[in-house]
Amino acid sequence: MKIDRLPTLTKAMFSDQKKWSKDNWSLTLGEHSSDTEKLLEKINLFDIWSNALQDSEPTRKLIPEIFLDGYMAIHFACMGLYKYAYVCLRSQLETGLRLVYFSTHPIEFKWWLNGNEWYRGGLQKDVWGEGYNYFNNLEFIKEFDKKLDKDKPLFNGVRKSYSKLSKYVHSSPESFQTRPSSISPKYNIEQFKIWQTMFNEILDYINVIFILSFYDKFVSFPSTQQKTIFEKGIKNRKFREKLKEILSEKH
Amino acid sequence: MKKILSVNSTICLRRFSWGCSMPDYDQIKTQLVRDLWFPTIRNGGDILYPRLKKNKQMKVFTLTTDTNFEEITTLMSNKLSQKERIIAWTQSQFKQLRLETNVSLYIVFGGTRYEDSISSPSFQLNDHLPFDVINLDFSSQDPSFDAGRVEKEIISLEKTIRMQRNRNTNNFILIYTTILNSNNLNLTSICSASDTCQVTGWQGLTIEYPSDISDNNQKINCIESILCKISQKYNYSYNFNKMNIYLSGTKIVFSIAGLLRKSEGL
Repeated sequence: MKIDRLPTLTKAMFSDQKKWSKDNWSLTLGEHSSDTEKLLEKINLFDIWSNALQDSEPTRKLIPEIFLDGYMAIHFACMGLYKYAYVCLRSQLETGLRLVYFSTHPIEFKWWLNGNEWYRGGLQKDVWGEGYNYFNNLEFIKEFDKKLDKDKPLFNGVRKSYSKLSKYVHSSPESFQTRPSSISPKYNIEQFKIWQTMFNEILDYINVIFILSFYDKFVSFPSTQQKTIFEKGIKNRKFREKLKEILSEKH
Repeated sequence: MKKILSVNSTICLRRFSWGCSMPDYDQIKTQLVRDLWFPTIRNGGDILYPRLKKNKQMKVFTLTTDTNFEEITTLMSNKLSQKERIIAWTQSQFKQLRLETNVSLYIVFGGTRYEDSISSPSFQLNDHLPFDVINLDFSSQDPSFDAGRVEKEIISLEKTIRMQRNRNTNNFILIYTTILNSNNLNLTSICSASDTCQVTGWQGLTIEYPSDISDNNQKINCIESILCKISQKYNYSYNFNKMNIYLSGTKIVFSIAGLLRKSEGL
């Protein structure tokens, strides 16, 4: 490609986006390189899940997508594109929940792959049915909820986070990336930190839900891998403690 | 028939004396490629494709990593293969992304361990077999050092040979590289796993070593013996060279590379 031969607007956009992308990456990493390293370590944990659950077709198809959503979320955040970084997180959470559902629903998985939207109708918009009732009825999620405060079951948190992320998908006013005074993507320390908190929240949920939904697999992991998922994959201390209680009661 | 590789010859013994616990893998791999893997593949390629002098286009499978993929670049630059004919595998999706970006191979598998995947009915390589060169470098796959790791690798080696045989492959180059550490090598698990892969007329894998081996040099001799026996099981003879690189502590990088040839008269 010869830049000089590009049409005017394309050439202008190409050179501008290269500049702001480079500037935003530098400013973000100048301030948050150790944070991004931890986020990358967190998404690398999906290799453990990918390897352990590889016999299931939904895993083989969905884990790479979950991994790349996380990777692209970090990529967009480092470029100062926070809105899209949030959109990736919603996609990641949604795909994680679908993986849990489809891992025991192979026929529905085939329907879904073929574009069949049998699940749509009334209030129902997700493959797993209305609300999060499906997950709340899974044995180990019920056990986990018993250990949490009564008014704060696991999927209450998931619902709140999902709804916050949906605002970015549907472009609610509070999710706008533009301001009256500025429309170019810019690094913003506050916005990065808020996004980073959400990233950790979503990854916490995914890891906790995977542990509880694939409990038998998780307990068969080598202790080093279990420890890695606990230490690197789950930032929420209360979640870690409650999971450890379940593990010690069962074994 | 010209014999290109001397059986059981150790071509290099080198001691790395880093004080740190993490050896410089990239440096070790460079040495492995230069002194063992490349000469083996070049010489083996002359036997596999004697008429193709300049551009052999061998079909290659390699377990590799994102920080050093010299085996791929060396094979391409020496016209022993080309990117369309090389399939790479790495256990990490992050490394898969990096390999796809930096090596531009057409197919890179990632996110699962080869030795765990090979028994799966949906094993990714099923549609790509057979290969002229199979480089099973487990030392590049961030090994866990849990007990039973090397046993699993060896079991996957047999399954690899079996899959090649089932595709009527007469000759191919096989390279196996691992890191031996203080964990014992348990022969019982290897033999019983091997015996589940039945072959008509084969009486079972018997190795004249104790069932648990702690000494690393004895492990090396035992692994060589296992590989030769497994090759025989599938009617191959295995002529190989090997290389040991001693790391600090009790770790040794052990690599064995050679040509499997269909046994005469079979």
